[in-house]
Amino acid sequence: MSDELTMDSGALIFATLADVYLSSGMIDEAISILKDGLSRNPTYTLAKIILGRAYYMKGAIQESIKVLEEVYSEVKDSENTNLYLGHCYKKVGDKNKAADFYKNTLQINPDNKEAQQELQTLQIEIGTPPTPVQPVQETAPAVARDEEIEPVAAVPVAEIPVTQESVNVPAVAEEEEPGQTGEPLQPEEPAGTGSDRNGAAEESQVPVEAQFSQTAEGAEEITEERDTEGVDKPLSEVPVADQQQEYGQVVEPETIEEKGPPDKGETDEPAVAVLEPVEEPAPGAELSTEPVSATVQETEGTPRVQAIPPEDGHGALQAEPVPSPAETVKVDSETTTENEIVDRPTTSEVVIPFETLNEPMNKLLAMKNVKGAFVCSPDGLMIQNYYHDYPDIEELCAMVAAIHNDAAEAFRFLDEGDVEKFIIEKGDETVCAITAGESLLTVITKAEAKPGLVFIYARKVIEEIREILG
Amino acid sequence: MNAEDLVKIPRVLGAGIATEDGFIVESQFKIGHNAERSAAMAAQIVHSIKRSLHVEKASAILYTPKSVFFIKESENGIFFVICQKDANLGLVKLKIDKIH
Repeated sequence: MSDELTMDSGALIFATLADVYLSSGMIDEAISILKDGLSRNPTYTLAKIILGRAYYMKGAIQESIKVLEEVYSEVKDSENTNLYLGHCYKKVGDKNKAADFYKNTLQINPDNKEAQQELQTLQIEIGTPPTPVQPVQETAPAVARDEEIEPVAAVPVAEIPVTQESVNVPAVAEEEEPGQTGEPLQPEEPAGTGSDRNGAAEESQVPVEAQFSQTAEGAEEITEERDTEGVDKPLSEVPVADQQQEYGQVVEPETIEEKGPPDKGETDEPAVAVLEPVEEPAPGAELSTEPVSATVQETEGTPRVQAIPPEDGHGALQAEPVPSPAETVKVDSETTTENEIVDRPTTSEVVIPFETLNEPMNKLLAMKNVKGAFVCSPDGLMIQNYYHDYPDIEELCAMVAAIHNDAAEAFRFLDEGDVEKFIIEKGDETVCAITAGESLLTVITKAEAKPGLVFIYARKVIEEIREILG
Repeated sequence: MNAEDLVKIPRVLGAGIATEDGFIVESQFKIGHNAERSAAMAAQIVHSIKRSLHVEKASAILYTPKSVFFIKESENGIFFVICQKDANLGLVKLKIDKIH
């Protein structure tokens, strides 16, 4: 995976950005980024999977099927891809195919409750007798299983970052006895804004809950099996520090915030990097499903770009990998079923290379008379801010993007092609904007600055930005 | 400074003055270039800049793959110049800067 990232960091970043957009409900923007990125990296499987998911969330089921089927042969082992295809075919009314994909999902992870329920519902509708869900049959050690899976499928296949909706589910689920099926959980309608989020959330809800329900029952069986294999230890027997070391977790033990079981009032908390208790249970004690499932729901997801205001309080988007959540999921997953590991990223696997923008940008900013700079998308959304003195940089972003779009439209009318760059003289400062792939690099200089010199440096920066942003 | 003087500079394709609403007042363009369209475009961009950046008088240079556009709002209207990318843009800018 790390090799893949090294080879094609641009591809990674557009897929990751798209995933962030998806998690923010900006489905159209995500689709736009993915389509553009895929035109440059047509073989990038992960991006296609995310695109399929985006189409599903948008309600464009046929497009979703088309995209997911295209890559299906490469990611047959992906639980979530199978699940999504099942959902898609169910929505278009092809119940037999949907049932096949749900069966595939269950072959990969027999504990996937959502697939179980969907399959049971479908089998009743089709008229075939419901197939009893097979218990977990672990035949291969975890290490061997990891090696079987293609790295492409291991990245954020269908890990949808946390939603508010997802937090509500455990409260319902905890009323059921572990292993009890209960009411079938219908996937939400993808159409519409609110349901888009639900569509995203559904994936994180049930399978995770299911795996922890299973844990409560079958933790000891799995523990014994792993002990005999000498591959792994159950969570309860591994000290916290060892767990972190084993899974590359970078969070210091002291920083782990201990929290009790989540109550329903906590559902409004922001779903960002809350490292839930990694407690050392007493020997022989059962793992508590409640806090752990809530943790996973809160933290499950792809590597995320976290919006962090810079020190001066201006709303810049600082892209940072969130190290702990994925690790938490992985640690928890290890204790339940190894299948879940397949689709989980780790911090070491996914690095968001936004920081690499800093170096070329700092060179530009070091120039005399340059007041600041920022990178934004053509639709005016901030990507990176290097102009912290400006009171409302996001407004400036939107305004510059608006001018760019107006000018581009005008030039298209004149058959002159797209705008490459523009300089606007504005009182005591000059705004120099240059297109960098799909992004817009804007440099604000003093009026006396030499725009030619700015562009010479900016061009160098652009090359590096293009590599990063695509 | 008028449009005729500017067009004398090598690789300058045309120049003109437009009203705020995009109608052409005066123009000197080489054959093959549509002065009226350029005037409308210049007015649109000036409008966009003024609306977005809240400037009194807009002034901009825009680069496209084929050519470079200079736009400057003056007392007489919107002055615009179109030239090839390899024209002496600095000289054109100097000339335009003299317009008030």
